[in-house]
Amino acid sequence: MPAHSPKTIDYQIDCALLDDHVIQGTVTATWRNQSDAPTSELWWHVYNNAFAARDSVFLTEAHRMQHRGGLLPAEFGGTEIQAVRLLGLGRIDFDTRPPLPWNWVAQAEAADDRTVFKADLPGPVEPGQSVVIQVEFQARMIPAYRRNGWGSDDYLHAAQWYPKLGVFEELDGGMQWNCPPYHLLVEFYADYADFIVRLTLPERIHGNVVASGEQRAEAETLPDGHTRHTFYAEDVHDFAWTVDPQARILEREWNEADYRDVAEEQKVAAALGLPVEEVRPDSAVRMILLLQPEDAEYEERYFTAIGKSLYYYGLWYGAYPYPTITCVDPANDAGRTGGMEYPRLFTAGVRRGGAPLSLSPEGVTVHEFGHQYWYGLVGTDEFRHAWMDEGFCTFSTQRLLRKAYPAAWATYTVLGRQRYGRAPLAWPAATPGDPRAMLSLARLELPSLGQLPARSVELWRSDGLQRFLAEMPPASYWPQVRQDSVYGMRRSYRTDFYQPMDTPSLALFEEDLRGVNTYRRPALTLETMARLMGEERWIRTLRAYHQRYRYGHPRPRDWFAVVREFASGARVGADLPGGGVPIVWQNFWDQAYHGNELIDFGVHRVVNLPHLVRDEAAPGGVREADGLWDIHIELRRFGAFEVPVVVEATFADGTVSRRVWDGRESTWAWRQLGSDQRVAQVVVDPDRVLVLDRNWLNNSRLVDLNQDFAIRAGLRALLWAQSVLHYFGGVG
Amino acid sequence: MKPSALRNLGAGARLALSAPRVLLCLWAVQFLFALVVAVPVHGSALEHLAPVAGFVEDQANAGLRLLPAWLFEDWARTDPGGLAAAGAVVAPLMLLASLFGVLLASGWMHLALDPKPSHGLRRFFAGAGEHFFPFLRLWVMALALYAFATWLLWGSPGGALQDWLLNDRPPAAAADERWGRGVEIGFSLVYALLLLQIEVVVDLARASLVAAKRQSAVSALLRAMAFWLRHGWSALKLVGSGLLLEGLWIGLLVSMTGWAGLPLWGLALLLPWGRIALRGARWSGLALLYHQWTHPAPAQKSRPLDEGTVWAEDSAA
Repeated sequence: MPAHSPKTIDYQIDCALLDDHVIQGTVTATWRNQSDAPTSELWWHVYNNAFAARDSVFLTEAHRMQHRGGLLPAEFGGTEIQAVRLLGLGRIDFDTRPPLPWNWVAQAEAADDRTVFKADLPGPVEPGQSVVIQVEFQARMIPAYRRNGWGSDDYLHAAQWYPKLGVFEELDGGMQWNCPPYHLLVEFYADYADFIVRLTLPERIHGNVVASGEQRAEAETLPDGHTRHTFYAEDVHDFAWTVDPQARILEREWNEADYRDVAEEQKVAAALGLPVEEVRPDSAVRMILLLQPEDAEYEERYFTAIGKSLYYYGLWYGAYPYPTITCVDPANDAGRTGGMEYPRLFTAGVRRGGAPLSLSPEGVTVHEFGHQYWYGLVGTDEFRHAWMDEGFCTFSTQRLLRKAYPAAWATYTVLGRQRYGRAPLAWPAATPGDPRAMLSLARLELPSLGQLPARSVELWRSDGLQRFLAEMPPASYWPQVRQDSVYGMRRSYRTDFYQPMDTPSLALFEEDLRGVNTYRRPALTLETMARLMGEERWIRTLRAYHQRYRYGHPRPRDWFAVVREFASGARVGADLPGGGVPIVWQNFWDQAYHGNELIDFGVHRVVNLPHLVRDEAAPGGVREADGLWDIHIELRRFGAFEVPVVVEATFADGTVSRRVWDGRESTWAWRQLGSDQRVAQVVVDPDRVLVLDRNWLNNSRLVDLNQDFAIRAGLRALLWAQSVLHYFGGVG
Repeated sequence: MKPSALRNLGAGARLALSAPRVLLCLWAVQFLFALVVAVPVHGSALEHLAPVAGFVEDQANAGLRLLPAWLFEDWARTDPGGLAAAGAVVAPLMLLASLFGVLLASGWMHLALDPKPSHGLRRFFAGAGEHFFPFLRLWVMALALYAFATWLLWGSPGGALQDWLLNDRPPAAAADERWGRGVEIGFSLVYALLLLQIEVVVDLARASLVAAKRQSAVSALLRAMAFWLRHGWSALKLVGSGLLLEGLWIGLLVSMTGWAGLPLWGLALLLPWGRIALRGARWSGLALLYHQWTHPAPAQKSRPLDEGTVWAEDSAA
């Protein structure tokens, strides 16, 4: 595992926070051409210009996809590039700092987009050579809209606030700058760099700042009362900072012993063939938490989540290499800056009144921390393969939550407090324009009357309190519904997977599909792969992938190469007589990643028929043998996805028998003639290996039906309907 | 003597409990309405979940209390039509239940103010029928009042107020979740109270229609508003106490499912029975209260008993 990144860039940024959320700064960047090809251009991202005008690519897409209901930022901002100068090229220093010609790169999606500019060099930067360039900029940040911005009371989360170099790499068969405009559905990708950021803050901030790097000396107080902070961050590919004079900044030293999980350590060590001491993540890390005063009760839960994350991610993939990790709890009116990752700093967020088992803020903290590994340390191309960080991170998050926390419970909210329970039926939707809303007394649809246009009048609003009074959840809801973190991702199956996972992220059709194709679908795919190959192989595979590409920019093909290297030989049902069926990973990957096929195995029919034996004396020459049965188990593959699967039959006396179906044909039969036991139940995939299986309800069949749940479901629905109808009996 | 809210609630409760056939009938009707929703859900669960062995371990562990969420997720996807249909049928049932409630209100109020001491089904529905159409006109007006209250709280005026409370406050308040949360909860509570107040005023208007044997919904509403302004606290005390009793009934039964092992079907049988009786008590009590305030009995003459220690009352009649 590399100890350091290639350090493609050195950034030195001098900047000051001015009034009106304006940042004035100068970036001095030294870029090393570590490729095999020369280039005479430098391409820069100016992400903050997504919010400079209505017709940026970002806001055009936000409008098209009706992001946040089509709501625009409350104010526009943007970054002005004031000067671009050349300081050095190859071995030549330019003491006069000549200005460089530069221009905004026009985008096909929105001609006036200004999120990318290109500086033209006087000559090529040859492989192995460097160029030093200086950019003066002034960035006006906007009120929190998406990922960055400010709240009231001087809260400011400065992300994508400075001009940042793109990545010069092989793309589409040739060397070029990978520097697309800022799209709504993608995040960020850059080369590894060392940063030194000198940040001057006004007196009113009281020096309350956290950042992606560490301060190696006390902040300097300037004569005018301003404070100057110098942050250092090595081997990272971005730099963010947050100021909030009202917040508390809390620090704790991380100690792995506080979080030690001996069984997990032994499992990982055994899989890797290493002593436990070598896999135990033991590094010196300071945990920093910027916490809103009203969230004081969550301090311990935040730190515990960060501590557990440092431990488990370190144990699974290798120790966290940086001296600090910072978590920002965003200000109330800047919640849109929450739930976002940057190297060494991430933003989380929590709503007061959460039930302990709702796992908030734990879920978001564990997830955003996870990006330190999947995004921070393994820096994949989020413009095209966002699943490679969000998918791996979501997979890791769900595993960590499952390992280190009790399962979450379903909740509902009343008067700002979460309570446990789940409604047996959905409340009837009452959207404007739907005449059926009148039936639920929610809306009155008035037709157009001459001069007056058609109107939709809201009669009654079912906010949390009214819903509570109508539904009476303590009586009618399912009281305890466990939301397993891994299986919870199955909610993705509500969405039609109409674009395969290999669709470039910036070409996704809509936001919902981003949630599926980028987060949950890849996580379910990885979970299925892990279960198919077995824990030992999986631990080796994922750890090898992480360590091989730490500080690198792997592509999907690199991941799959590691899978083939480490997971070959895996078999489904390897412990069964015959040794099971081998998994052909290429087939799996073609279907799961390049294709859009779905996994869905199901039981078609299970019958126990009396076994017939010859008996000349019996009518027809045969009779039913006492106590012997012909068992017919017929299975179907409803989806097109082919993968081997285990089938389990449980007999009346409790004995269990398993077989493997290679999953290639669309049907499969298991027949057992003359059995002395009836079959009681059949389960396809009894160990729930295939979490990608879209429908688990058809995976099993009880010969004698279990009616308990059906009766209770009916009674819950009865209670719910009684409550709702009783409530409406008093309305009007 | 000044009419007492609690005494009238008690009188209403006695009246409701002395009409068991009415209660049974109303309970049965509500049960049938609810079955329209419950039967398809049971049918769907029977078809899709009864053969499923995959969550048996969850059932075994927790006696069907702790259920895996994936089960609901897969169920909703496996039978979207069936479950959606069960949910969709709730909407028209809400409208029907509301209209049925109009019928019940007129029935209970009629029984309460009926000089004949008959509490049978025939009297109940005769009264319900007699006042149904004026009550229906009131129902339409009530919907308009609800719409007005909803617009007031969640429409432009409420929106402007929220905007002022959330955005024009000092920055420290906007940045603090407690303030925003307080505003949100405050709006919810005010809205619920506003709806309750409309409901009480509409009920008073109903009572005035029955007590005065009038037909005009508009004048009834005006009378009710005037009554509300003069004796609103008394009416609110009666309704509030009735709702409190209903809450206690629900709490008692729900807690009994835990510590006394009351089965779900027991809850489904008992819960609506108590709620229907208590709503009957509220409507009857409110009608009695209105009647007593607006038709006060002539002052009773009283004289001390000979012993001089106890007062005896003579009926003025």
